Amino acid sequence: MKRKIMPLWFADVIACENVLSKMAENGFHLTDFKPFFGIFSFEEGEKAAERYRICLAGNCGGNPPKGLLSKGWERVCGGRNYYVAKTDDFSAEPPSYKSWKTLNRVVMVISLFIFCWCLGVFVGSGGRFIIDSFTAFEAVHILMFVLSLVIMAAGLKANRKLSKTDINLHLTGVIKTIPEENFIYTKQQEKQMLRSGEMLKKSPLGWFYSPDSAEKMVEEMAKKGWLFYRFNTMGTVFYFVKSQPQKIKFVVDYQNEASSEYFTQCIDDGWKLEFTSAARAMSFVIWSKKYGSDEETPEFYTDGQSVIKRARRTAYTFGISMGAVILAAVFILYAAFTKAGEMGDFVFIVVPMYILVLLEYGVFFYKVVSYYIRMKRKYRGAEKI
Amino acid sequence: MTETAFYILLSLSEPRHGYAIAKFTAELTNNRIKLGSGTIYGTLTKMQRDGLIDVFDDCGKKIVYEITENGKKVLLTEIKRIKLVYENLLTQEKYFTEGVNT
Repeated sequence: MKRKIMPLWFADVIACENVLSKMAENGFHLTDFKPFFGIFSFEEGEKAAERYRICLAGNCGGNPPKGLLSKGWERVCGGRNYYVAKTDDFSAEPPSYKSWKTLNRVVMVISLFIFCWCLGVFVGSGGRFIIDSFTAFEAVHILMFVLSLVIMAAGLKANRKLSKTDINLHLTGVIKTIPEENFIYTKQQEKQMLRSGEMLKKSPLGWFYSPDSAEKMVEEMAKKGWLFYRFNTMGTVFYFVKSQPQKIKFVVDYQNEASSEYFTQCIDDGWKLEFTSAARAMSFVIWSKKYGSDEETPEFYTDGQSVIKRARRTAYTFGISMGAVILAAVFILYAAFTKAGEMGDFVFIVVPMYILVLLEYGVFFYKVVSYYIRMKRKYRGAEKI
Repeated sequence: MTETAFYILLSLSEPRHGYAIAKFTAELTNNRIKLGSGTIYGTLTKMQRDGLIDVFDDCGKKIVYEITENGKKVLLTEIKRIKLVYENLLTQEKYFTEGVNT
């Protein structure tokens, strides 16, 4: 029996799994794992080439899904919400890192809160307390500030690595934000069409905070003979091309994790992928479907509860991080007004800057909350699942 | 239980993936119920979390689900309830149909 302690194993799951494989190569096979303490127990046996996966799965009781077992993976150990599986067949398809990425995002949002709070305290004091005094209060804030930054950076790095591994293993259906086949025209042709009026651009400010309005706008444009063509790479500009008036259903869907299953299912159902974003706190995926004038409007969500749930998730995800920024801005402005004398010229930079921040985020916050309220009113009384 | 949840469970008489569930439901109900992709994806995730269904195969691009023992119990309870409702409506229907064109 051999033990190995890796207290920060969760910061880089892939590296940790590689360590387990290395141990197996040296004849030490994992038998038990205490995630809270990062203690891994090994039993000595024959040297073998094995691939390990540590997976988070709510209420799995330590057991991998049957499908995984049928593909050559075997259970090593597990707990209520996780399991460790291994295989000696390197061609066996592994489970994705989906749940790890979700967990990392939650940790990053909490860190953002702490970061904004500390930033508020620093700027509110005009940077003075670091120079003039250094008490336990300040030390804790500096520590929290640095830690939140480190955690956010580590979370971003970890998610990038996890996504890259999933992509290399073809576990993520879509890699590019706009599918290649959506570009019908070359850049030159597009420029020409924009000049000749055959193509037009629209960029509604912060449209993704009230996606129902954007959906309606695109559908109305299609009816008027302006068919949605594509987005820009950021997803902020809509391009339309002149066409016959037609009917199109446009859907902006928010998914914390856009799994390959999700994409396959929607494409099978006839939806055309227009855009996916993995860069934001919440990935948004945009779909469209053309339909004839004698056909029923295709629905992406056929129950009101799902629409409310989607709006609530949007409001919470954006609202919480925006709320943190708004709170920090209010705190900083309050401090700037009450301590204007102490801050000197610094106040002339801080005040206009944070008024702008407050206005911008205030509008976005209003948009996202009103979207949720609108959906809740529209589907009031929808059955619960 | 909503109609969506009911038909998803009912479709899992054999392991199926999301789109197959939608197709099966549409066939079974003569296109009366068309489950949207977003609705199915969200409901399947929730049902899996609640232990009503489980992943049968998650390695490919399509996740195939199967119903759990718990899911079967919930479905059978609902079937029993609907049967009772059906029996009740058969005895009462005649009082409402007279002179009404449906």
